[in-house]
Amino acid sequence: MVNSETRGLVLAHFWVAFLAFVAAALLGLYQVAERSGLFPALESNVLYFGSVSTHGVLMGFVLTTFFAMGFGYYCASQSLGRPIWNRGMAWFGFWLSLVGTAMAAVALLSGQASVLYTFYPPLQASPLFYLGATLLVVGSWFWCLEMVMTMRAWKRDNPGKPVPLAMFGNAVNGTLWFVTSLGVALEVLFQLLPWSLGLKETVDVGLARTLFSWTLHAIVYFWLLPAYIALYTLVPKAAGGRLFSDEMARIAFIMLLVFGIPIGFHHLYMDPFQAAGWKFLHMTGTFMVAVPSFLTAFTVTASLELAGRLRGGKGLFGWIAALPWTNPIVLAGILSLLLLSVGGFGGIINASYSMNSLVHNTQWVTGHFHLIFAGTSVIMYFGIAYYVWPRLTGKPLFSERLARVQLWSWAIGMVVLTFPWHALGLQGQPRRISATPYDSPLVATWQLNEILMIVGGIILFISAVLLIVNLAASHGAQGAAEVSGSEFAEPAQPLLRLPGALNGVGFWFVVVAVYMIVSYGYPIAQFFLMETYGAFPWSI
Amino acid sequence: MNQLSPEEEKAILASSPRGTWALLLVILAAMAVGWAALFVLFLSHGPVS
Repeated sequence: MVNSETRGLVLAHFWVAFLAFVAAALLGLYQVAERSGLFPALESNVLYFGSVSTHGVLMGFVLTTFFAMGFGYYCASQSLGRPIWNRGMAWFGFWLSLVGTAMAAVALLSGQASVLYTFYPPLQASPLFYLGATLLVVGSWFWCLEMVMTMRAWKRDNPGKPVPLAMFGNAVNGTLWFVTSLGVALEVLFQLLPWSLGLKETVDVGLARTLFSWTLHAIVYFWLLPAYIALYTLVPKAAGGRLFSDEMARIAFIMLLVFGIPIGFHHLYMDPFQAAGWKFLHMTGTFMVAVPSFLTAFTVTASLELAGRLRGGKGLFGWIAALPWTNPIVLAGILSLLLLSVGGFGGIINASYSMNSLVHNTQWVTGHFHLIFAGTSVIMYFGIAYYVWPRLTGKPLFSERLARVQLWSWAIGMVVLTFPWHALGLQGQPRRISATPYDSPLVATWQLNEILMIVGGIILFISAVLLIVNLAASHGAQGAAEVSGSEFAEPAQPLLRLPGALNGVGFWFVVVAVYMIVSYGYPIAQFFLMETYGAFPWSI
Repeated sequence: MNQLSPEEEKAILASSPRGTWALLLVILAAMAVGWAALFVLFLSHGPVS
């Protein structure tokens, strides 16, 4: 059972995350209906772009940030068996992030921030949105500090011992998120805020896009790491097995930290202000991230294979059937890996410099990031929630059957929603549009996929409601939860000795700093060195 | 849960995950074929003129 000090903190974070999620899911349902063009009464480009912006902020920033923070506190407390470093500061970060979220919500819901949940000028939002987003991020920096300091305090009291993997993964994620969010923080502070406040007439769009790209892709790994941590530490144990390799997990986390941060540059492949040579170099860096993804797929699948064989599975694939598919977190893990493999394929296309031109700014991209975000990451958030809820509330989960229905419906809904989007993208349908009222013979050929998109949206919204119902009802469930003692998977082979580099983040923080200077130094510096035709690169 | 002797359990934990190797090889091959198919089907048309 989780100690009472941490319980409230984790539950507060998770409830903010999931309430934001269900609101965003409702908006998503509206968007697929509006975008299809099949419901003329719903059509409104003003409402659509306001909805898309709110949907994206709620999903991409609020759900993820609050969930990652709550899960980090849970893992720190449970894996180390001691309180987090500074509980007061953790609550302060929570409230700061919540106030920021409320400020951004006011701007979004009043139509003053319909910027497609991006920070791409010349789209401009009200200062309230930028201030709110800044507070949300700054609040999360307290969590980053908590993760690193909690780990340091434990290492000081346990010299020479390997930091538990769940804690190590969260410390890596805290470090990654801090460095990652610096790009957009610089952009907002020195460009977008002064511009939206009217202090400057214009901004350098090239510099702004480059700074945003710094944040734009590594944020995906901030979303993914809680899912990966659960896949490595909770799923093998829940499946009845062991972790195939603790060291492999740590290497994957570190590779994501080092190679994951600069790769947002591939979002600039089609932008004219960065040279082709830089784009090519960054393409090679982008492909490096496939390595920790495959390491994760291998290690987690191998751990599941161990579990299946320990449960009596025989033959090359007999272990798959022997896995406990009825256990929600194991089911979530399997579905997450399946969707990761499909979404990962799309990512390889996006990352290829020449292939990117094929799908750039088409609905393919929307399909890809929904598969990775909602398919791989968020489905694991559900699995984690079902797993930790009894430990947080002291009550059993309201319905495991409902949880299974919810997980399956989410995975099926995601396939029904995103496969047509991939097809539409290859047929040339642009993304970031509210309607397609041109070239009607072409649009007519898209109709089947448009209808499937709506079906997918309906399934997903129902699934989202099922999650909230199950979690809320669990608070009032009868009886006491039956939870085991140790919940994190032990490695298959005992971890006798661990190199220092795999047991801390300090060294890797320096490596990331050097790598960022090498990969982003000149691409940013050039804006201060070349003529920008009246646009101020910086407001000071 | 299947009842295994400690020796059997130890042997499983020390064994190579051959099912995982097979699965991942299939997925990797599918990805390579998919990538090549998209390249040939779409990019072989050359630049837009």
